[in-house]
Amino acid sequence: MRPLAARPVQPASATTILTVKVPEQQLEKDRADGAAPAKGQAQAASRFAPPSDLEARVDELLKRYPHKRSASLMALHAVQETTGYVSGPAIEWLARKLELQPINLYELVTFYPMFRQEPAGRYQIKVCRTLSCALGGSQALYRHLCARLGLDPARPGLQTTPDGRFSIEWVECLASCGTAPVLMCNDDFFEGVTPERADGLLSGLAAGHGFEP
Amino acid sequence: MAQEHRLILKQIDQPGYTAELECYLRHGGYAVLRKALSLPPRTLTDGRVLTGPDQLRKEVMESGLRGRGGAGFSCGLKWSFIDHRSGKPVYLICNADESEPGTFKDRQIIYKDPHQLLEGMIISCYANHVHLAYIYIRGEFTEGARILERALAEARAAGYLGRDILGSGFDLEIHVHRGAGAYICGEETGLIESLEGKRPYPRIKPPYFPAVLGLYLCPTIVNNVETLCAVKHVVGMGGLEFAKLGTPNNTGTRIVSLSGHVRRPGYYEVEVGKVTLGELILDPAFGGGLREGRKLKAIIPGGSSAKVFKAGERFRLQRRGPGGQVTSEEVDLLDLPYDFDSLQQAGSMSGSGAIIVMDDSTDMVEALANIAEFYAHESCGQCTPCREGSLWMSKALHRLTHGGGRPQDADYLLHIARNIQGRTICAFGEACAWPVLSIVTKFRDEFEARGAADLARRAHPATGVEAPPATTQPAARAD
Repeated sequence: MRPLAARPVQPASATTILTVKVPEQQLEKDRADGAAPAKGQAQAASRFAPPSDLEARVDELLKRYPHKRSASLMALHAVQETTGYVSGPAIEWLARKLELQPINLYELVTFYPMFRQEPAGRYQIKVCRTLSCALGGSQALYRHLCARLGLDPARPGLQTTPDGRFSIEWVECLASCGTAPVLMCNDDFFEGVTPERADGLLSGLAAGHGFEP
Repeated sequence: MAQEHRLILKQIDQPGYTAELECYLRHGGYAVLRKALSLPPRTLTDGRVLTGPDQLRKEVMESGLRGRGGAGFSCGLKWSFIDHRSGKPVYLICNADESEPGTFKDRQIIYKDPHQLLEGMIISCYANHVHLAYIYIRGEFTEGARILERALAEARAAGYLGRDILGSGFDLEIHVHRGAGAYICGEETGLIESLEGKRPYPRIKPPYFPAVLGLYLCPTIVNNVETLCAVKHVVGMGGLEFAKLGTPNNTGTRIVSLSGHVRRPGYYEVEVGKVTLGELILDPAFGGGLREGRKLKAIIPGGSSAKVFKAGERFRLQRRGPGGQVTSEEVDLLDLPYDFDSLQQAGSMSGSGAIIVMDDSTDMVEALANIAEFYAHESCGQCTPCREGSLWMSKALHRLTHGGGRPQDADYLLHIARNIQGRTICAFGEACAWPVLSIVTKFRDEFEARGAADLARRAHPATGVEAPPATTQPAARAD
């Protein structure tokens, strides 16, 4: 059974939040200044060096919405795409950018299943678990992939091979039920995946073909 | 002889047809938009003047078009709830969060014919005086989002979006907004919350009807991808002409997503109500029947939230004749016309148009365990009955599929499901309760037999049955 609660907050980011101690006067001033971040938050945010194009991407996204907060999901996607995951310092950097409190972003990262707070493998395999794919053999596919990768098919949640190359996890319906079973590998979509096709996919990836790292 | 009637899917999958603007224009693209934008005001016999947008809304109302996302609500009526005199901006959101298990129709449109969706959206925005619209696409459609962004850029460059579209004086901007893997974002008020940058907790209605208090508490229209594409065809052929397709009160065409144990799973566009459930599953033009030597066991007719049908069921349908007289007839499950009203009369729904077929190799306890785990995972957690109940049901079914069943589990599941439905803010409560209520009721013997066998095994441990493993994934049998 997959844990239904959101992923546990990483110890590192938990500490980051706890150390942000904001004096009341500071908060008052922040509110007056339009929610400028507190001192501790500024420090944490400064520990995050956004990749060159990230800031520009977020600025571009902000233009799409009448309210900055609306850009949160798209901006979190941009963070995850450029840095591989959504780290605590990245959240605090983004919160400053969107003029929000970090909790406003933490509540999203812990709710939406696509965001991760820790890095995944270079190739992240998501196998569809839901009914049509299950009728089409997704259980056998998942067991097969886990056996090939040396991972435990009964373990809930995302697992990564020790070499950091592959991650695998179950996901819910990927909306391609007519070509079951289906899986996603990073952003690419694979339909009608028999164990043989899965073998081909894995060996292709292992040999460095098929995807740009 | 039942056959497809391709209106929205007309060009899709044709050799050489691509998602590019140039290709769309070559096939007559954006001609309907041109026509819509240039409609002159029309004076009615009573002296009232209908502007272009008024006429478009009237066409959609006359077409009888019903929403293709799941609820089947009249599109024209939904639009008519918008108060254009509130002084607030009106927003339109295209719901492309296709995530009802079994559904994969919107994906085809987004990936293969994005400009058709854009044309439908621009017309709908013009008809409703919308100047800012969003396409809320599910996060997993990464490529789909890229295709839409590209299509939007092409449309902007060609003057179909932006300021003064085609010289009409109408301004519109459309943006793509990606979700991040949460099923509940398909619920329109949850979707709005998500677009505002929050957790997608559905809002309570009243007062938060999107038409009144939607995005940023402004009047908002939320329409499914297929519905917006249908609007293009309604405007193109005229509302009354569109209403001639399909059957009365179930007009037009709709795309059916067929999956599960059929020979030819896939998407098929048919006139609503002109094709029966049996034809969709068995006819060589559609599903092509079941696998060799297999018999039909169950059908989920409208996405996994719809109540299941058991093979051999018979239903009494009320039909309204041309003269208004009501006739009643008994029909077999496979003779049910695939439309909104017939399926509702038969106690289920056509929902998002997704049919999942299960043959006699399927273990219904395993199948329900799979569905229940989906809902337990996707409940947003806002309302207690749904948050706790969906998890209890999933846990009970996990126990039942892993050797820990009890004979009373069938009643236990029904008891929980009955306490969820009708007690939640959004329709997710019904969506998670209905599969349990229908499958446990209609296949009760399987649940009781499983529970009794488990009980007997536990009473005589000498049979050598292992204890159930602590963590495994419940799912329908693979083969």
